[in-house]
Amino acid sequence: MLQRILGGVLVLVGLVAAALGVASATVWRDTDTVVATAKPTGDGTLVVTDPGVLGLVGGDVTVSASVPEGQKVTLAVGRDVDVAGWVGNDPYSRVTGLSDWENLSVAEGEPADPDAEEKPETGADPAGSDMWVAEATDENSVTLRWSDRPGRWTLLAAGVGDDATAPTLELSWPRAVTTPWLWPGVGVGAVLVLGGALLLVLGGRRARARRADLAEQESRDGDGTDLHDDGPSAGGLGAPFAPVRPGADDEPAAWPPSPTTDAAQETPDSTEEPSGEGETPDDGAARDEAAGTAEVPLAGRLLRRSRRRQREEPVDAPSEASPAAAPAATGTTPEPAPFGGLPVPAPAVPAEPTAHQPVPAEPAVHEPVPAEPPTATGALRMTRRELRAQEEARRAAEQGGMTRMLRAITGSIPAVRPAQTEQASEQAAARPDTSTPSGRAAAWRATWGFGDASRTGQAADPTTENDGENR
Amino acid sequence: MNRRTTRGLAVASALVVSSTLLAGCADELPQPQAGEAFTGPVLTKEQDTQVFTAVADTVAKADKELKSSALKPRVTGPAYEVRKSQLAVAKKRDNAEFVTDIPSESQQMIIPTTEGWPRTSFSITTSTEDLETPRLVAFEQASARSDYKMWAWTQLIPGQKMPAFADAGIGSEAVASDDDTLAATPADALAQYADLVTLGAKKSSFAKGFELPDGDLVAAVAADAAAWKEVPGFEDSGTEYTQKYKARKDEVRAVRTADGGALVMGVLDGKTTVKAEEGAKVPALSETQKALLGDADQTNTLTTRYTDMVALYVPAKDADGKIRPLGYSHVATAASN
Repeated sequence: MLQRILGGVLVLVGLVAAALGVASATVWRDTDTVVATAKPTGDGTLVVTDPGVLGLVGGDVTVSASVPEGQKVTLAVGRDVDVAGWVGNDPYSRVTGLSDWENLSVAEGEPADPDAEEKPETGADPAGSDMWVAEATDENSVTLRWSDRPGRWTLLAAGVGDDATAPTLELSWPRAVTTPWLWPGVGVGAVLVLGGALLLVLGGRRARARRADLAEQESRDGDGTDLHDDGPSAGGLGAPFAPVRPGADDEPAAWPPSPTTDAAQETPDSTEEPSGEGETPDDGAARDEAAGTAEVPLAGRLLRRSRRRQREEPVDAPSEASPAAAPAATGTTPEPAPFGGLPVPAPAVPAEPTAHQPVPAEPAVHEPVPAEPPTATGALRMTRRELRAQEEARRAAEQGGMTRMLRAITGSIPAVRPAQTEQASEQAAARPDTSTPSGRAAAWRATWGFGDASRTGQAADPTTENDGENR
Repeated sequence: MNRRTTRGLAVASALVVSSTLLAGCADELPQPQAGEAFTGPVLTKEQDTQVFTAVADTVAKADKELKSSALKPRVTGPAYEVRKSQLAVAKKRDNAEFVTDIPSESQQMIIPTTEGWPRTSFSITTSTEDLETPRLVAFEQASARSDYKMWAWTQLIPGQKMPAFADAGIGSEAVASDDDTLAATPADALAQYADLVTLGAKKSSFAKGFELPDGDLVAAVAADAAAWKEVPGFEDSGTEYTQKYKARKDEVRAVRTADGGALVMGVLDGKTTVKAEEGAKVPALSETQKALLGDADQTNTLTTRYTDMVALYVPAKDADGKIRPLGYSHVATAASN
């Protein structure tokens, strides 16, 4: 329920964000030009801008000056020294900057030399001076464009004539108006809407699932059929995988004359003492099981691969068995000798000291356990680790909604476990070499299920194992 | 979907909404940034070219109409004086052959960096159509509200090497008339040159400070004197010929050269007097003198006044070199008898 509410809120917020983003680029968009006006103050017919005012907002400025009807006005741009020199002691208005976005601040200019006795000229025309780099003059109003350049450039505006008045200036700069919030707004909005929608959908599905759960609460094992459920699917899809290891283990065990098999399987049980260490292989087995279930999404490929491996194993195992068995035979304790054939299938074993020879046997016994329902071999109790794994799997199955979804996407739960890597390397070792044509042919056949791939591959290339590792 | 996630989402959405609302707010008002102060030339090359063109146009117009008043807007100082006289003579003679031709194209601009006024810029023109040597012209802007006007011109002395000047884009420093970083102050240099012109290279005590080329004003004035002395009967009748040249003290314009020396332009007022014995009649020797004298009766004296514009190169004080005349303009502007 919370999910659905949150989903709704997210959708709403997303829509608002997108709308605000669009609005920032349309309704609230700044104008493309900044237009500021300056009204002259005090006496005089001259208006002078401070250096830097022309380039205040942008490099390009359009200046227009207007005077009352019937008068003449001149605009000129020159170096600050030149303009100041031209103005001399005449009273003038000084534009010092922007007071806001629509008005220029104007101050009364101080005369260059207050003591000068020259009578100020009124209505003098700056037009035509050699010093100006740009100028314009006209009746009533005039416009001048100026592109800012380095240096202290100053604008001089003058009302010209006997009864001239200082012109009113209007500076307008084109402005590059950006809409920085349009795409972020729309993007964030879209993400929020999508997220909300996802939550809504998932919420709905979860509610449905809960209803279904209520109905089937008794027979939760049935969950295994749910492809999205990575719970204890061992009974379901995981099942085909389960025999992989036990099968491989069993068969070599059966390869030598079998009477020993039973004894071998019994022995670990009777020797309870090393069971503490024995947990290590147990762990491996449990993880194997977990890994087996985890690989479900890759079912198609793995199914094929495991089938192939099953076929390969009989060929492979004995060769592996003999070197492994040799150290066992030469071990200090004579006891393990009877189990000679047994330790072989547990790949983790060779790392263990030979003294613990019985230990490796254990997985052989225990391994079938996780693969089958716990009750399959009544004689065996589950280890704590196995119980934990089972509990984990159960919990995983219970988890639903987002988490499950995410897990399906990210594959985060089937964390790589030591046993799995070993298995993988085994698989790799078993795979036909693809570096030779015959090997590739074998691989192709194996992939598509023609003929006995394993045999062909092996026969074609006896060094498969090494090559596989090198690959 | 636990509580933390919910809160996180709430915070995120609040951020988005608030920042979007803030986006509508306006930026800060920009403050005017005064750029770097100008240190370069007071005129750009383009502006200087415009000045030159405006002057040339004005002069051409006045020349065409032979009306000196038309010169006023763009010609001033000694240039105006001389030109006015030349135009008057031309009008009288109905022949403008003695009006100095000033090409309207500049081959080198020497633009000052002076902040205040007056400002003086110089220009070297191209050769004239008659293949006369280029002119060195000085332009002056007397005040901020006045235009640049031609203040003086000289005709460069053939074969004289012009000193190097700073590029027009960098600008050249103006040199005061009493600048003492030079071998002689500009005013002194002109005074010494005037002495040299008056007395001649052999008699003047300043001769050793000068490196006189063949065709300079000293030679020209000496040639004038020689011309009088060649007039038949000049020697026998005991006619006296005197000449006096004097530099105008306040009509000096100088600009720094690249090697630390200075180009100095100034004016020499010359006066030559031919005084024959009582009752004799001294004729005007040149066409200009004739025109200047007009219809006045000939007497036993003839006084001719010259307004000579000269250009000198004055090396820096510690530099190895002598003052060199670069150009001159030797024009009779008045005559009386």
